[in-house]
Amino acid sequence: MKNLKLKSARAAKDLSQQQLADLVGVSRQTINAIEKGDYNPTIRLCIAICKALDKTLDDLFWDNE
Amino acid sequence: MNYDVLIFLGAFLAVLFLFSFIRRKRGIKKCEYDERQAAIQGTAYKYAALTGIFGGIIAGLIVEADLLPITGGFALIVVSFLMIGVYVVCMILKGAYFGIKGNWKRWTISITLLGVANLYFGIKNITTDGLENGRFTIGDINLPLGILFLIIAATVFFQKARERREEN
Repeated sequence: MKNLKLKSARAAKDLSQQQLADLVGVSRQTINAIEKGDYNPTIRLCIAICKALDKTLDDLFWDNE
Repeated sequence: MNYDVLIFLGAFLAVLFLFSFIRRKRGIKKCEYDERQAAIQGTAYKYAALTGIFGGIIAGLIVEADLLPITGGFALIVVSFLMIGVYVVCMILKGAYFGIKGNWKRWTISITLLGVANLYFGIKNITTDGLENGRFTIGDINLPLGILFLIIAATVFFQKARERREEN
């Protein structure tokens, strides 16, 4: 399932996939895979992404449906 | 004692030492991979191992039944190259071959040059010397090696073009 919350949070911060990848120390392809729902990140990476985007885990990774 | 071999080995080790010295001086860190890339490398390794098992069986049958003009040594080398090919291509297509800050352009150029050189020498050897007893032997290794390198390079170019399309 696509992670549109992450994509919109990244876009709101005006960051490209590469810039976010550099901030959290992963490859651009990994950010792309998370946004496309092809990869489930570890909690460590989830936290790093949340910190980089000033969001909580619930904001980006909790599925309300 | 063959002094030529010793001189070649010494020169090779000296170049290797020089490169590692320069890397250390410049503070170049070793290639780093993220968690997804490490996981994909494990999957690619599994595919390569399966290729080796089944490829080995098929190669054995081909050599035993004399279906192709190849020796056992050549078949073994081709299966090894096939394993490497599956491992590398799988990682490239999933974006896990080059590290987080890997210099893919430099590596791809090197791989392409190696591929072209090996292909050239492979074809040249066969056209000038011919095949030994009409069979591909371990001495004709340049040909499959060249093909392997060129497949890897072509995969990198294909994947990078796909990534650019995705970004756009």
